Amino acid sequence: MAKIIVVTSGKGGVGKTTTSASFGAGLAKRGFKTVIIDFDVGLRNLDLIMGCENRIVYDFVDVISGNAKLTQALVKDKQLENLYILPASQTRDKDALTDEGVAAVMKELSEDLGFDYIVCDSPAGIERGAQLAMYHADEALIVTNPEVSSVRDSDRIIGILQSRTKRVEEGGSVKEHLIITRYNPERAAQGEMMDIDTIANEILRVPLIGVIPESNAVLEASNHGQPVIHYPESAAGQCYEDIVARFLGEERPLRHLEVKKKGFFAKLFGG
Amino acid sequence: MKKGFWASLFGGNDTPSSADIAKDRLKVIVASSDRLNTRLTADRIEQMKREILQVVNKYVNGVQISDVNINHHHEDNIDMLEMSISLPDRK
Repeated sequence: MAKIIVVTSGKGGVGKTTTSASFGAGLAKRGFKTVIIDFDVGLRNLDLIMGCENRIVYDFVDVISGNAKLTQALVKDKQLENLYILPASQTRDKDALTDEGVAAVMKELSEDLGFDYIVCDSPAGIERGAQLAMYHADEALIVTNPEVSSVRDSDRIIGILQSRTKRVEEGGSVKEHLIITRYNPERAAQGEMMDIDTIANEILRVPLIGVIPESNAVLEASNHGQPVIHYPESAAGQCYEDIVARFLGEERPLRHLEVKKKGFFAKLFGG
Repeated sequence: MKKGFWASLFGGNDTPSSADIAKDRLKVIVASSDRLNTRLTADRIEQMKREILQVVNKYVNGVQISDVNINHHHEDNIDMLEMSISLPDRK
């Protein structure tokens, strides 16, 4: 049985696709057969971040509408043996995904194709597309920026995870993990940005699984079409590596969050 | 950020910047994505057929949805929408 993980946020542009790509690649690097599904019908982007945009023939909607077999639509990753992506359609709208269709795809990935992990990259918002992406989830990665609108949207999403998911309908719950992205330790220390503790423990009250500092490597990686986890020199790459390790039950201390000390002269003359 | 004097003197620029790589990848995608296809999805063509059928049936009786044929094809950079409607035999 595959474990299904949704990557969700509510707000757009906070790093869901970046997270889905690196998290999925991280699981595959550790030998798990992993598929990342792009649920953003009409605005697909996962393929660009993974660098496989030229290999797409069929997509998720083709599978659901019976135009293609699931095995035809799955795109094999460029570098990792057991990583696949299922691209979203670029031309249809979100109504092309049906509840039954999505359920059948999940079942086939899990039971017939033997995937260990299914990572669902949710579209932004709380509409149908986002709800479909989270419906089958066993666990959720909630991606948040340290910024008011993003935190509030995440709170909304947590409410939906706790009420409109298959697990909850069956009397269980979805295990939640919080990821804070684009974090700037200096600004948090200056009090210009909410800090980790405030977001995770005071406001959202969701167990923190990792923090990704603001990093130039994320843009660099997406320009190249590579998940940033393949940049082992970068802080963001290392922090995603840590998130995967913690997800799999390892203890890892938080890294790259220390405030760079101001120099003597800066202290003397800097405001 | 301007390159410094020494950097411009000695810094090779043989490897394309990642911004250049991003630009090239996007050019391929944006150029090859069929814009009309995104304007006219299969669902929208179906809807158009139904509306055209209503109009035709105001003037001619007995035209079925199956009598309306719409083809969308591409010739020498021109997108064409070709439509034909076969009328039923006169009774």
